[in-house]
Amino acid sequence: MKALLSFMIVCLVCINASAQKIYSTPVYVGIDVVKGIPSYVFPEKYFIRKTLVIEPYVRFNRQKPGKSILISAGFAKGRSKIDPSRQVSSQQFQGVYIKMAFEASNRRIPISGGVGPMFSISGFKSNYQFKGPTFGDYTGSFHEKESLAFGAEGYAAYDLKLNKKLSLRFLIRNAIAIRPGDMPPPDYYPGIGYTKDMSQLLFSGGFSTQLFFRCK
Amino acid sequence: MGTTIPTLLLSLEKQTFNYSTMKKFLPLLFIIVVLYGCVDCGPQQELTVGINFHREKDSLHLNQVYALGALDQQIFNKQTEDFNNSRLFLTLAFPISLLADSTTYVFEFENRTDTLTLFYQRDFYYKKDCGFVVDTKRPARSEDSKSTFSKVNVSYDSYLMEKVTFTGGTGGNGINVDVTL
Repeated sequence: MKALLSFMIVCLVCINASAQKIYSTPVYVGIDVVKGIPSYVFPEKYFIRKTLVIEPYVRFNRQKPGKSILISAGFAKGRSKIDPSRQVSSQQFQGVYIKMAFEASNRRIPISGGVGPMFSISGFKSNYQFKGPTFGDYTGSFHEKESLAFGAEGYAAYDLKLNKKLSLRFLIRNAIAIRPGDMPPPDYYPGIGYTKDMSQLLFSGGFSTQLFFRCK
Repeated sequence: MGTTIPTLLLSLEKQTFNYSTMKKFLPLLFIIVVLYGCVDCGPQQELTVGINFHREKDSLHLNQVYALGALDQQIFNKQTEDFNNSRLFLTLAFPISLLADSTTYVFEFENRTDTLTLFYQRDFYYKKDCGFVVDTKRPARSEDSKSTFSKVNVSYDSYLMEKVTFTGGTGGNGINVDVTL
């Protein structure tokens, strides 16, 4: 956990340092305030259970008006909903990811759209079961330590200004990624989302809310 | 520009022909695509072995058969019934344990009791587009069975078909046992 947090901080610092040359004020830092919460509020109904998702952001304007760059490095750890009817009833997952987006904003209404690359390294643990009506069920375990996925994410966002410093961003997002190798399909892929029954081509969308703080 | 009504009608007729021809061939194309894409996932449940009984006397009556460590012996009642209703040659399917690399069956006949222990190696793995599958292999040990029957011969084949064809496919026979009483 410590190593992952350090990795995220180093990533953000590096990205921020290299961004010095291209950005103009203001600079925003933000965090996702919704991801993971439904998994604690509705652990039996939501597709993930007790999942910790930390997704901080840095957003800075580019020299061109209405254009900005958004960078995030996230961490997710949890498990998928238990479904006893499936051969793999539930999965545990843990992963870190980096996302970058080139954003364009409307000058009159606070609506933005962005698209950019994403990269995720995740691990999965699960038990699979073979029904044995005569001798009893066989349960085996599976552990995929490092799974890589890379692709792109696009989003459309609406910014609601709360005061001079704080703003809330409501967004609808969609990610598409490729995961090389023949591995069992992940129920939830950190950085991508709900990916049940998708093995190599991962595709997921969703809604989210982010809180941004204006630094400069 | 220079398109006349008959030319237009002809081209429309051609388009209709192409569309109707395509419509006829679509189911065939669908079947070809489906069959071409057929993959045998193999068993994803408890496996069974085929036991072929060769008996010299058809009068041998089986009172009961059961497997050691089985939680449910229901299936063996049917096998007992089938055994007693058949004549000289008979093949019965018996489940094998996925919890161990061997399964022992006890056959209680009217005047004698025989045992048959089968050895195998379980192989669990993930198969793309199928999920986790189970298969067996020849055991690492030298003997493949232990029995009080006069002759036992065990043959090992994969439970997964090698090739899926129109007629069903090849391979996938699993474990087969020839028993001479």
